[in-house]
Amino acid sequence: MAILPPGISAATFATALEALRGAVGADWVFSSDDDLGPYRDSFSPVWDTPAERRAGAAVAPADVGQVQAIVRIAAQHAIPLFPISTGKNFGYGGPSPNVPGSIVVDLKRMDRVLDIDDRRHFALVEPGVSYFDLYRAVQERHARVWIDCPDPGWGSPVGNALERGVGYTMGPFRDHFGASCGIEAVLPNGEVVRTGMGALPGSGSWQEYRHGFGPDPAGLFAQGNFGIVTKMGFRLMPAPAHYRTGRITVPRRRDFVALVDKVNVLSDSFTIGEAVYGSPLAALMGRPDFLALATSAGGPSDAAMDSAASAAGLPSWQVELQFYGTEATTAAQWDHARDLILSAIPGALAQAGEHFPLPATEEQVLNRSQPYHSLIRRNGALGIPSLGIWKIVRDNGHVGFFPVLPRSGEACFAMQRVLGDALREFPLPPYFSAVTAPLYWHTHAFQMVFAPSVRRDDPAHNAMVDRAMRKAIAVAAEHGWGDYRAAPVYQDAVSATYGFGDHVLRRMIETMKDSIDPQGIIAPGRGGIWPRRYRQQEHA
Amino acid sequence: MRRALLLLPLLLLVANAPPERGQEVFTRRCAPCHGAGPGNDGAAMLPGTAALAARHGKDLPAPLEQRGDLDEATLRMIVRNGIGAMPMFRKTELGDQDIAAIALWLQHRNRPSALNQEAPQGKRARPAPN
Repeated sequence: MAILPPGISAATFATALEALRGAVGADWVFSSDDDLGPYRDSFSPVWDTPAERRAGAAVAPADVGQVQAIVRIAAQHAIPLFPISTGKNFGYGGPSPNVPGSIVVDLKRMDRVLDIDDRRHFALVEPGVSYFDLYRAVQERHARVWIDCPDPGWGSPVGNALERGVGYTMGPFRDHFGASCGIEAVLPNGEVVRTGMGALPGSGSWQEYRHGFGPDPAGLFAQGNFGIVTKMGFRLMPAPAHYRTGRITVPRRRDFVALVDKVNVLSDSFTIGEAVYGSPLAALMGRPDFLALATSAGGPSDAAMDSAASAAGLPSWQVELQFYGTEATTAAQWDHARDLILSAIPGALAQAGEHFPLPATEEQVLNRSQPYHSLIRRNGALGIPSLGIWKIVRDNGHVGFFPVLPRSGEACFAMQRVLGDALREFPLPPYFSAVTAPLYWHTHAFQMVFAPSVRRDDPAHNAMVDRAMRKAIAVAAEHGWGDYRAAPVYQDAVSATYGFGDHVLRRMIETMKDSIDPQGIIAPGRGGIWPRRYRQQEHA
Repeated sequence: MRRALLLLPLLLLVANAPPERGQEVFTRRCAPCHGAGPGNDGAAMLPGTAALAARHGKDLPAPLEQRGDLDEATLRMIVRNGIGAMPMFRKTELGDQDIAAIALWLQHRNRPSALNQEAPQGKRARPAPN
């Protein structure tokens, strides 16, 4: 049975669908239960509950003209749309909308790689292009550039960047929205806008200078609902000649502070790629005594952790460093990095890892030859998309809370303690403990991860996970840590934590939303921004 | 009955297509998770293959390309509804024709006469240009 958007009658919805069939062809309008099943969020924590956000229909345009037609039809009937690129935003809602009954605009058919330039290092793509597609196009054209891809690789560069997703190579490229350069979008009134130099007809710099002139609205499309993006440019890394790795370990728990400080220097001076942190002590978490220590209320003392590390003969922390360049430059950079850190931290040890000329062999991509236990995801580090990350998926998927924290050892220790204590009441694995290391995917910020699994056949478990997520969001915000991205069911809760000045940021954006999208047809609720006609309703 | 009649032209179209099309679709859409060969960073298998190995043990081959028992209807049911950790796939990603082509290729590849030939080496499913 059709799910209708709030305030829309079945007759109006049917009329709109008929108009959409005329615009894109009947084969590309999906309204049956069977056809809409795959538009559900397979990772939904509220699967098969009244809270699940399900599409009323889906439409798949082939080009910008059809997107414009869809938007105009939606505006005529005041029907909410929800654009998706490749629809692989698992853990964050997947292909499902914020507002039940929305018509999902499935942009997968718009899958052209429009340009790859390996002299000026950029690409221009449509939203239906996946990382696999872009990688393949780079190979086919023998372009001397790398992509930076997230895990898994079936996502869309456009979609992932608009979610502010992240990858694994050099800092400026890991931030996928930050590496974007030039957006084309269909506005709620059906007009096509281009940002940056794209607004100057005939410019050849659209993918080189993202700001153009005057206010830059590009950010409004990221985690936003101001239009449907139909093209997006990306800066690409010139293909390096050599890849090198190395590992630094430090003996004491508190050494982590100085380690992070030195790695920050290396990263901010573009000496290294993604620094992958870890604690060798994590290998002891299978021991009940160490588990109890690492998850003790209020956090363990440094002395107790140092004693445990010493008894086990293990260093407290490690960081893996990655270098891209030539054989000579990467060797010099490793020497510099090693010397910088070892001179600052007594007892720190360095171990050279694998290094090889690029492109890597199949065996090198498999990452089976490091002389130490490596936490690096080699495919990502080499800009090669894959689905290998799916090995971490349990049950029917998971939800994701990735709080942003300052790039310091002290902040890491605080988050370990605070969120570890806050989540103790829930029967879940200890995501936050004294051995939890930060993720360094964003260019200048750390994150940690809370990603409990969901189970479609266990509503009680999912309800518990939901409570844990909401508590994590709230407690983190009390300490100045906010999520960087959220599923529709959590976007309002996360948005509410960014409440400086009585939520002036949200109110400012709502004002713009009401002006640009007066009927509120583009992804209402996305990013916590609700159009006027929905704001009277409660959104928990 | 009506649905079967509607599907008949599709089946005829796919049945007349070379099996290689199914292999091409499988390689692009399925093999990155369900192919033979090792997984990432030391994993013994790719995730989908590992999941099937855990599900079926020694009763059935884990790499999907070695399964000759999966007909088009079964594949379509799994692709459209997902199973376990495997999500659903939309028609815009994998059309009914694509699924039918995969089924045809799997049956062709794993027919008894083909199985008497040397099996592939189970190479890693790396993204390939074509």
